[in-house]
Amino acid sequence: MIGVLFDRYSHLVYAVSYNYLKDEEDCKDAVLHIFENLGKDLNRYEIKNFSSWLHVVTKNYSLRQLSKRKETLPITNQSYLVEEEESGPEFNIHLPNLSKAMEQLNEEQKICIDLFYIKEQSYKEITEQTGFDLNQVKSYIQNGKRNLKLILLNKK
Amino acid sequence: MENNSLKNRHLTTEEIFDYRNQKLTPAEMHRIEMHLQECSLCDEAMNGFSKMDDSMRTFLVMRDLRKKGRLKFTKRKYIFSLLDLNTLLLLLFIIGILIFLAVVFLKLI
Repeated sequence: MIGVLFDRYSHLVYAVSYNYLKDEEDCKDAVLHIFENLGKDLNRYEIKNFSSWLHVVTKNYSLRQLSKRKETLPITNQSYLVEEEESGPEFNIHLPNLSKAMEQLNEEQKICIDLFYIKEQSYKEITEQTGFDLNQVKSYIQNGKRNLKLILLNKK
Repeated sequence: MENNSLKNRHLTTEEIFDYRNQKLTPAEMHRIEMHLQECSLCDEAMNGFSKMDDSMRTFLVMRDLRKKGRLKFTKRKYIFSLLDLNTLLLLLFIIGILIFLAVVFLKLI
């Protein structure tokens, strides 16, 4: 079973840890360490969403390695560690509500949400069409999506 | 690029490389970006891959890592994978010869 999970997830674990450790050998060690302990962890914890749990485990392992490397944070201080995000309450998108909610977004978010989710354009196409840079497009979509969710949940 | 849905699975190394190297159509890129919006693991992994300069080097590292992982976590499968068809035929051939020699030896006695 660990072998199957390794095939599916090892490249993602490697790349996530690269964001923090930026060293090939350290990242390989991170992957092998995380998968070595996976069997034990799977028995020990009740895991609802495997991929988000694995994401958090990878981030925390990498941050711990980073703090060991820098020796700036004491090992006992684990307040910097990330906790698994609780998935929010489910909501169904009701189209008339959605278009009203869209009106409440700022202009940039509205344009990016419309082009990405409704007109199904890629980030690159949106940058070409709007003149926003890639990071702006990503952030307008992410913030717009979060705002829409909040608006729709408050309306319930 | 594989055309199966990304709703129930994560991005493969090949998909990430094709996306990074802009080898995909706008529709395929959009499909991957829709997944990145919903999946924080793949999204942060994509960021990690973008920080690796040499894609050939990264490809080799991934291959090495996969090999190590297979050795470590799928030992039984690895042993069976060594017993491919050619090895099995050779083993059967050797066993056949041993049986033949044993029969000849018994007849001579």
